[in-house]
Amino acid sequence: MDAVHADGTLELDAHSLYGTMEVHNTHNWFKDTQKQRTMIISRSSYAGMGKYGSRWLGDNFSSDAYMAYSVTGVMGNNIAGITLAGSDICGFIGNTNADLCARWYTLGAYYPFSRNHNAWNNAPQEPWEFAKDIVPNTSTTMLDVIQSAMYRKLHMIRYLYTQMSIIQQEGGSYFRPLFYDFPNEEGAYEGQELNVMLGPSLKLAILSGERADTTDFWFPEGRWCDVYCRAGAEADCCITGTTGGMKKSLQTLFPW
Amino acid sequence: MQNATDLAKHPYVAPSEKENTDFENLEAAGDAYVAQMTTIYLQANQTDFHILPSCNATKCTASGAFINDDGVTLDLTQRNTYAFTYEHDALAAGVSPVSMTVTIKTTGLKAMINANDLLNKIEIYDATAFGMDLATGATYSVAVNFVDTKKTAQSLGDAKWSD
Repeated sequence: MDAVHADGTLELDAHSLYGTMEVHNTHNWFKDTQKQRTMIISRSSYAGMGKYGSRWLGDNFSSDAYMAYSVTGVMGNNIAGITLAGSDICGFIGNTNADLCARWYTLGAYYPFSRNHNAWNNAPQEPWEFAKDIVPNTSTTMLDVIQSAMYRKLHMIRYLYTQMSIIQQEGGSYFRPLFYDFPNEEGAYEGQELNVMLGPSLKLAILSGERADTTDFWFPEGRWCDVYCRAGAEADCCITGTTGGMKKSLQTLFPW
Repeated sequence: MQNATDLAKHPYVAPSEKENTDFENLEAAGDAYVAQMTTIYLQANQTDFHILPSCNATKCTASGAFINDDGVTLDLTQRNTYAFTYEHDALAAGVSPVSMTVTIKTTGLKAMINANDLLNKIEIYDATAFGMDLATGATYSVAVNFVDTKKTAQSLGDAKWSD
């Protein structure tokens, strides 16, 4: 750390800054000389990089565990000011499968940055690879489920764009833990991988790890209605988080 | 597109009280949950506002924002920012509100960028609990009131509750 660079800069002052400086300079060149916005994805970063670029979580494994880790990973980046973050959907290392990939797409639709990414020599994991894999006891294919996840992202794109614009100007976070918005509720500090605030307006409850028929999610105090709920009695679409919040058991993804 | 009832269970996404959210139509024709959409479709279609008001003893309110631009400009004056608030009077459970008011303050370009600058519909969650009786199909008069008092209020005729 006491090494000195050619221009006299101490290594202590420059260590880990290379990635951030590269993103900073690339961003500024496009903005200043080309008058263009940038979409730069960097693997190396340091504090402050989020102002200029985005990040993915690096090489993950195609497993339930890594899908669950991704939630807190994206949250961590948002807490650190790198808002546009996401993990490799379907997993990068090792072979994925139709079930895992479809569930990961469903989760990944809510990452700020959603991308399927695969390593060489693994089984292919493009969505169309799962066109013949059927969700048990239905006529729905895993490709249908993946398509549905992609459409859900587009349904929310105006909200996401608005929130990202606000954050770009004023700072803040998008994919964040419940305790950011509900710091006085003890339950907001538990089950981070299941409960996510998407900006100030939406709360996501999603199974991110091993499959389960039902899962306990945390709902802060107040009234919560399911944006996708269109069938049945309206009362069935809304629940009330009691004083101090509450756990609510809900049927989760792929309950076969 | 597959029938919605065949789809695997969806994640639970819930709007927070007091917050308005900008969505593209969640119940487009052919599928109760999702529509097949492209970015071209999104730019050519109007915006929906989804509202879950929070109530005190006298009124139920929500607020939110929507930003629209061409996706390219670096000039913050070349975009439209909509700050909007919603309010209706809080009455006894099951009693329809007498008035509902949406106030929209626009800053920025103040000219149409694309169809996203047009309002398609306002969707209020938990409407039955707020006394917005869908069963009777009651009608309500709708008018646009301008902050600029030189412009006269414009009636939009009657509207009917819709599910």
